[in-house]
Amino acid sequence: MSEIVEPAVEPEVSDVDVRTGGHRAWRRFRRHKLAVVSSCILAVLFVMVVFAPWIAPFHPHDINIESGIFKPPSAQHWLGTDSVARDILSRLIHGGRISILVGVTAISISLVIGTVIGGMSGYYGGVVDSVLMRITDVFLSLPTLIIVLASVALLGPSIRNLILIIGFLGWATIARLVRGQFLSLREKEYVMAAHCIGAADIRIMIRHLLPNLVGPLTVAATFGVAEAILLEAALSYLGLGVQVPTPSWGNMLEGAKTVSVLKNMPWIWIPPGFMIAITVLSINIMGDGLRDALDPRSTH
Amino acid sequence: MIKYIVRRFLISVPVVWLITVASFTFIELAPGDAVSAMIMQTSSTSLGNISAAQLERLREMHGFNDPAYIRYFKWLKGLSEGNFGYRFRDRKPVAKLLVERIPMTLELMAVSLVIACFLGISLGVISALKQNTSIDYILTVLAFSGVSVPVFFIAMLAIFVFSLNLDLFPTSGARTPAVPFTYGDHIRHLVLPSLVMALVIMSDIMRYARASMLEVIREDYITTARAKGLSGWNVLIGHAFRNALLPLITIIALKLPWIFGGSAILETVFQWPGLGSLFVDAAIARDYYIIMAQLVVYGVAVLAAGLLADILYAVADPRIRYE
Repeated sequence: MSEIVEPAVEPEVSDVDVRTGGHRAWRRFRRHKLAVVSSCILAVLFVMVVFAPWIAPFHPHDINIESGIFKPPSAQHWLGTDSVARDILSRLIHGGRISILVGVTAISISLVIGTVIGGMSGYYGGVVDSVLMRITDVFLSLPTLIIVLASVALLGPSIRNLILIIGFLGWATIARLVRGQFLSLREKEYVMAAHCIGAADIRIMIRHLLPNLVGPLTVAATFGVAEAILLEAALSYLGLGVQVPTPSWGNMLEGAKTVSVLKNMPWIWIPPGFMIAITVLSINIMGDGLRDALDPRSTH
Repeated sequence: MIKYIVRRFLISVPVVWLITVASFTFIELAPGDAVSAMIMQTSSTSLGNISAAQLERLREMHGFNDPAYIRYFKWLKGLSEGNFGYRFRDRKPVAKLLVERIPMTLELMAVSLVIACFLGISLGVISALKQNTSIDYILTVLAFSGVSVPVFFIAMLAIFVFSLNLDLFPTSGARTPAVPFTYGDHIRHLVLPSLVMALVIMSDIMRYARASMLEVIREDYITTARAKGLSGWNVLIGHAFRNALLPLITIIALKLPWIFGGSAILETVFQWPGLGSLFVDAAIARDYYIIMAQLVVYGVAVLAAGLLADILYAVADPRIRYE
């Protein structure tokens, strides 16, 4: 609290607000029981993917010929082996790395693009706003899956392409959000004050406007990660995403395209499907809790 | 109203043209070239067996050496005459494929949308009226699951349980092959894909319906209606429900392209012979004509959905008057 007493050029009043706001947000978040449970599940998953090489009993690419292919769960291979005698549990643990990596990095790209475009649109208004918002509308109305499919088909499937494509397609909702907030915030008196003492536009945007958006952006990014993980899974399932032998939860399901695997070897496809489901569900529910906690005015 | 619709249609014409430009440019920017993709598709010979001169002649024959704008106008002329190019694999005209496939996708969409709207709106309203009860919690988790569990995984589970173990429905396709077409057989094929799709769409609609209903029942006119002594049921159906539906109309109409696109994976899992599975196959095979044609089809679908949303909203809400 001592910094407020000091005659700073810009009194850090917002600092105090954020802190008590943080406390209040934490209390609100804790009330959302499901969100707390989801966060715990995500924490476990996070530890699992970070320490994957130490936790997994086998290397995910290893072909364990002596164990045999398509073997049901056993003491040695807890979740059985796949079509080329790889250990499914190890692939499952490592596969989470890819899914989460794709989800988080893709959303980081979307966040940066969306914040820049939405920020400029909302701050400058006028022609800039009209042009940028028309572009945003186009991106909002695109059927994402179709465009991603077409782009991957043309650029070729790889983890890098997947991240770039998902990232470049997902910024529109974020831009809308940032623009809306900037539009109302730029009329505030403290922005006027900053102008008067000669602060540059960029400084006003980053120092004075953006910190107000930490809450809503966190919420938007959380839902975005869930969406990106689902997209990655879908593309990898179709064979257009992460390529074997690198495991991802999506491409582990690809093996179950034949009826015989689907019918007789549920250990091949149920675990990865379950992992995607539980991860995305947890992220979505945590996002819901975060929204209640950080963005209480939002009604949705 | 009529004037407004006509004007919207007229504005759409240049937008359709922009869609064709965008689709063409999109393919044009892509690395790789159509001829080599085509050779790999049409013959078992790999590229290695073809000399550079032969490749060049093929490029010349197919007009791939023309400047981009000439190829664009050729393609556009083809589109206007209903000639969308052909599928590399079997030289089947894309236009014919589209005509076969579009009704299949529309059928699947329509059936699942009807089920989803009915269930989604009812459950959403129930959830809102019982806010913060255990019913509300269960329905909320259900709605979250519907948008969180990958649609292909739900589809696989459905096939696993209902087709492979209980043997109630066929696993894939739209009809039993080598058997004369009957409606009963077709409907049996339709059940699983449409229910899985309905489940996903329903989850989405449910969340909006709940939020919309929650907002409406806090309005002053609801309090007024209650104060006048109307029964709870009358207030809910006559006053709240109708107003809560309004924003839903737009939301559902704007969701149509998303449903249209989302059907791609579902159709692939069930091998439903619709647009979506055609598109996925084309994407895997890098079949340029089909990808280009379908980008236009999807673009027009987005446009049509936006138009539909505006018109439906104007019809449903008498306060809105377009000039």
